[in-house]
Amino acid sequence: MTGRSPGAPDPAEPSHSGDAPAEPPTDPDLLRRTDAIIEALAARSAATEADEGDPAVQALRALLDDVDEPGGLRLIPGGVPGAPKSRRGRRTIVALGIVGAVLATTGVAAAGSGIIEQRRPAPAVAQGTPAGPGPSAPPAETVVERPRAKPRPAKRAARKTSRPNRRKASRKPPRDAITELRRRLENLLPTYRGPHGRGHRPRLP
Amino acid sequence: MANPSPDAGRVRRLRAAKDDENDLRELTRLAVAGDDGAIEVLIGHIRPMVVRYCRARLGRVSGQYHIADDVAQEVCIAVLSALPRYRDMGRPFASFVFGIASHKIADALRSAVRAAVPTEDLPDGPDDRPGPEETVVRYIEAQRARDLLTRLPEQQRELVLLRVVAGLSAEETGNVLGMSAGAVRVAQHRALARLRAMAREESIA
Repeated sequence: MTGRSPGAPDPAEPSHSGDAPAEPPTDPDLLRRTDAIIEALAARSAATEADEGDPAVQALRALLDDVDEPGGLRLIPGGVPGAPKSRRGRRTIVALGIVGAVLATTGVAAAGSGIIEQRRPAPAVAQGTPAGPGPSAPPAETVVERPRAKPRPAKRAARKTSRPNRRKASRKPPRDAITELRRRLENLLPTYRGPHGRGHRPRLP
Repeated sequence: MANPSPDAGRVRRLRAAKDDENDLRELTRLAVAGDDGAIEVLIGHIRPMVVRYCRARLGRVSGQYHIADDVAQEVCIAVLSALPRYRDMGRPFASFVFGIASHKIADALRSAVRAAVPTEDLPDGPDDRPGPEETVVRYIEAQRARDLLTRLPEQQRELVLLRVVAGLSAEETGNVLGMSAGAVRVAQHRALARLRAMAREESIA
């Protein structure tokens, strides 16, 4: 049997990772003290006087303050418990509403909302709303044409006259109709370019 | 999933008492059985821990946590998808969740995708967040903490992240890492001592 060479590990001793030297047994009181510190950090409890002078605790608290930041949880509704609620949802609605209003006045939404208009039933045509010419006008047999070339107040008037028919035809509450329109607008908008030209898709909360 | 909750009363009670290990096990059992209310409560319970853990592991990119939050979302989706196949083999559900999280984080670190940085939404009120100077200081302190953690042995680093950032108990952490609760307490003591020493060395330097 070969002898153990000097410096070789003693198999009777507990093994340890190569990058950490063997450490002496730890005082149970120290273990309890450390466990209390760890539990306090995990529970996000207020720092005690003893912790204030502990650089490890200060470092970990700095990390916790950073990862607990509520911002950025845009994909996860509700955010981090205990953190202030983000106003991102309302901001998204405002942004989407503004985008929708802008597109509606430029006629792009009108072209897209031809999808809605195509579903309008025939009685709306009988109201006598004049058909308006336009490069993006949907097929005449399916639609109540709004006068696209007319200025905004006239469009509003045309919409107002047609609105009772849409209500009558679809029997949807106005809120549901607005929600549906918003959803369809969202699908039509591939990317919303913010002021810095960076893209992200607007989302409804 | 549109299963009505036959145990709605039990889920309500579990919603309030979800931190108790037995209650969590019961909640998991109901969720695996397809109870929608239990699934919602369970995901709501694990989601903040997963978000914090992913943020601590992956850090910020261009000053934001969008990649870490995306990975956290992927983890939650993967947990949801795997729920029907989950079997309680005597290990806490946290072991299952953080096993998935570790894989997702490893994938993210390998791919190191630099996605488009989302822009701020339109402000709709006063900004209550800390000012830019305070924010930068917090970022620097948090990154310093991450740097210290990367200098720990891998198991100690994981242990600190799971215990402190994710908030797992010593027993749950031990199950994730394949250690006893006692070994976790010893290891966390050594990890904190090492962090303390490294932080003091940096301060002196």
